[in-house]
Amino acid sequence: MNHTLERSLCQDCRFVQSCNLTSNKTFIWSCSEYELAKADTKKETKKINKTFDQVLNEPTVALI
Amino acid sequence: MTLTKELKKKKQPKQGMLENVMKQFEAAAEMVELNPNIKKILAVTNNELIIHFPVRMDNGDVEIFKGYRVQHNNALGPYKGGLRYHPTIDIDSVKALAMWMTWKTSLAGLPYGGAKGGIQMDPKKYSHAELERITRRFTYALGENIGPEHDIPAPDVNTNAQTMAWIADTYMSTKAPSERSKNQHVVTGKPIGSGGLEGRDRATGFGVYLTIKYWAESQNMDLKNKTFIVQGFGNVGYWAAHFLELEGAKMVGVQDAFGSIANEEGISVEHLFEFTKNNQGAVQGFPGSTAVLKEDFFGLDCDICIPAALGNQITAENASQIKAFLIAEGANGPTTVEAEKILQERGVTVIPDILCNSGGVIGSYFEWLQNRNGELWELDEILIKLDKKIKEVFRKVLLTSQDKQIDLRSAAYFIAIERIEKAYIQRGIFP
Repeated sequence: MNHTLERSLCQDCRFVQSCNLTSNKTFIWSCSEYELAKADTKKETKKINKTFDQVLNEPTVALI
Repeated sequence: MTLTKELKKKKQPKQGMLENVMKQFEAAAEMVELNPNIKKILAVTNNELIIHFPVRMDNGDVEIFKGYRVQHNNALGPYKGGLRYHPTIDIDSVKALAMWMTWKTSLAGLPYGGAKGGIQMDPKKYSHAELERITRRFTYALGENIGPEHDIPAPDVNTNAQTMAWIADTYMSTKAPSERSKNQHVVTGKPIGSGGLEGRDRATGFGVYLTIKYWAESQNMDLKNKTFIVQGFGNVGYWAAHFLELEGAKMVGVQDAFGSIANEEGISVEHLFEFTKNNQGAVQGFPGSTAVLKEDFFGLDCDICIPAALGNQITAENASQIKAFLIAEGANGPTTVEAEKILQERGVTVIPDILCNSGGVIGSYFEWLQNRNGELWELDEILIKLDKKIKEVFRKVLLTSQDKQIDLRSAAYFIAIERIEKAYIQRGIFP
């Protein structure tokens, strides 16, 4: 079914498998029942901004 | 495989939204006997903007996004149309939707043109903070290509009042302090506290109900005890059903994404709405109703059928099963061309989408006016104004249809295109 969903709203609708409105999921561009499926896994976020303390505690590189 | 072959393979013919809209335009242009020079103008879009813009993600990485804004025509006023966030949008679909907006605003007699836009992305992959940054950065990148008197975006798929509030805030922040509050109407569909319109949620559904009411009046028909079925129990379906019930009509069937229910004795709209709140939004299992198979839904015995969910629902396969004498298209494009032919032969009337669901864009216009004039309108006042506007548009479509002996859809396109043609003829082509 994946290839037929390529350009349809159904692609990321949370009702896609069981939707009772239509079996034609190929090109639906507008739908009042459309609801975005929730992401399966929580987005991983990594902190890159170091705190002041972290910077202070970092080993210093000796200049040669 | 060579690179050329690979590239050729990738260039598959695109699925036909643009093609469909162009076909409808061609047919309508022929019917109106549209001036060939004006046809040339309307067959293409005025501006197509593709913007690549960078946004810093929560993890510090920078991601590049592709945003679109297509401005189809502004002969009647500033461009107007939604912004959607979805992975499948591309320039062709945005072009088609922009063109559709031109016809819709023209038919509704609004001082607007047509536009559409969006960002190609899957919003579920981003955090709230990232979505805010993406929206704000896109707004900044659009710059003066949008504006309260130039191009006014609105919510669409995966965008909402919050998205509009971010856009308005970003756009206003780019102005000098004394100019900021003058620019609040750069978007419509804002939260009520930020200049949004009271009752914007029900504007489309109320409009659907009004078109049914005015059609019934034109037939000297009383809506009391008339039966109706609704596909989709969201904003449009629920509110249309709500107002029809107040008028004395009886809802006998409802279909949503989870299933279909029926009860020939009637389903209370308000009770069903309360039930869905505690049933994960689903109508299935409503006490006193029976479950109906998906394929049998449109064949339910009723007087009025309201497809208010999605496109391509009434097809050549099920059109002959429909028992209703009136179809009110709350959704966009729910009836296929083949199905409409069958319905016409059977004497079923179709209130076309660009007329039936125009309450939404009219509501947007009211929000824009409210902000522009520094006013705050009350709900009662808004519904009265909406009623007046829809009545006027409906009357025009009905008269054109009777005068020219054409169906309501053809009449709607006729009026929409003729209004733009008139503006071009009056103004001429510069230089």
